Amino acid sequence: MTNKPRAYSLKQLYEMENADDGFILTVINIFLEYVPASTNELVNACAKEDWDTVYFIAHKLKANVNLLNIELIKEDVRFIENAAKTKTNLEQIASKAKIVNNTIQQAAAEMKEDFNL
Amino acid sequence: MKQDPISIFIVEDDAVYSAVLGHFLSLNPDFHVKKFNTAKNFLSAVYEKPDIVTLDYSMPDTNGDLLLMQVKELSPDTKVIIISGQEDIKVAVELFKKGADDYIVKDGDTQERLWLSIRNMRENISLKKEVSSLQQEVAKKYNFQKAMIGNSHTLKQVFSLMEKAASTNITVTVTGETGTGKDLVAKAIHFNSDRKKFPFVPVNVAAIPRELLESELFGHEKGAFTGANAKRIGKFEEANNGTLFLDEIGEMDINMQAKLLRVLQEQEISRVGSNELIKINVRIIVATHRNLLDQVKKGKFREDLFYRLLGLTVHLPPLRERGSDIILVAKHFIDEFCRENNFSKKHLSGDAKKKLMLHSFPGNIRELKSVVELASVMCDTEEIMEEHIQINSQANNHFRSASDSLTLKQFTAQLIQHCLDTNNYDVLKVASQLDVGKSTIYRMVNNNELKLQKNADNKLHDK
Repeated sequence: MTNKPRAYSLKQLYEMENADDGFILTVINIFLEYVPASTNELVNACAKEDWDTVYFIAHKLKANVNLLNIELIKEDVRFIENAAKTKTNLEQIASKAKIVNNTIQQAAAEMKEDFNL
Repeated sequence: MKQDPISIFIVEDDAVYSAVLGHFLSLNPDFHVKKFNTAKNFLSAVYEKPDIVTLDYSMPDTNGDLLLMQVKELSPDTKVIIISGQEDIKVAVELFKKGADDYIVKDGDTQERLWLSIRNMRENISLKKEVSSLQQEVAKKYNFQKAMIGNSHTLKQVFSLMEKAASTNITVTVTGETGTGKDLVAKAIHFNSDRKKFPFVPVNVAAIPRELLESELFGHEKGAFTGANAKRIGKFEEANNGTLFLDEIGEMDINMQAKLLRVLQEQEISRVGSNELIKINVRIIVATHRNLLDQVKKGKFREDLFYRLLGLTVHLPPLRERGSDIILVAKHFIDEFCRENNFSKKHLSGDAKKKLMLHSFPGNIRELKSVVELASVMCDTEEIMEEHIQINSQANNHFRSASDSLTLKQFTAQLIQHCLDTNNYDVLKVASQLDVGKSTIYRMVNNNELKLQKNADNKLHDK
């Protein structure tokens, strides 16, 4: 592990009972397998103005962002979820989705580096 | 309290969250956890009837409300914890109305709240399982065929009446000699009826002093009489929604009979020392070894109460009228006694069976039980012999036998003759009791092996 500032934090995971390195690695692998792909999909759904899909992805993403403590985008994900659900402020969603995607891709790269994956 | 393992299904399409929940719940080795990432996969496994399901409200292939209703329909006893990404009170209330057992929002405290929720549910599940297992045990114990052993025609008629009694709410009068199992019939009717989840309360009227019976049945208020130091609930209230079994009703004091009649008519009681009327819903089963109609004629039993209680009468035949049931019942008691006392299995020798069959058993089942239990103790081998069967000969003066010196044919004739003598020469009844054809009996009569007397012309009851 590095001491460089990171977009994500494993604090919440390590606070869980019996959260050993094996468990953390499992969660990281699953995150890498599913989450970066889903934020790419989020950007595509915004481009298509498919707001139901945008809402669904943002809703699911929220729990992961909280779990891995990706502070930078917590508010943005909530904003996207709410706006897509209520069909308000739609014009702001796409730019925030890009920020979310970039941050997730950055966190994924950092995880790969930190865990030699 | 020791708790059984429980099965938990995690229904969650978010792979990260599913892994976290799975890890967290697997910390307890008593939690058997399975994960499902689609509603379809989960529904195909719900037949396993998991104890608890954690259900993500937003599944991609269905909506949470629908999935909840499907779970409750397919497995009503499964507890469902909704785990949602949104804290929406309206949605939560709607889900509770539809049967959700808890609603937890995905945030930093989710695991802790889930743990608490499952811990509470687990206690409830364990208690429910314990109650259900006890209910099954009771139902098994009081299954009609197990409560009373035998294949005789007379007993089959009793079973048929018991089934009718169990499926309705009719008042039942159980009659029969002492020791025929009237209390067992009452219990079996109760535990096979819709009231089985409520109390069965037996009261032996003959065993309670006359002056205490009213307070025993209806309860009393504090200070109602000397010695009434505290308020006490009576048997009627105790049996509310269940069954009150009044054994030996024929022994009830005539004044008490009037009070009982009023309660039966009004379906309400008042405790001794109180004017407050308390509504009750109690099924009444009564039993007596007396002929209540005779008691009515003698003025010892109120006619109005007699008709109020009459309902369905289940008459239990004495053991001597149940033919080969004697051996079946004896075997049952021997097996039970040997099992309870860690004896090796014992069986009756031919002569021992013969001796039992020839006895009139005035004490009925109770007497037979004592006789065979004693025989099981006296017998050191696996075969219970005639000498181990110790019967009070005073009680067996209906029939004397020098059976040791008889051939099987002579013994059979003597047994049938004994039954004919004690059953008013009713050929059909005796044929049924002994499980032989009536033509066999007539053939033996024609061969002068049996006699249909004393007045053969009008005692012949071939109906």
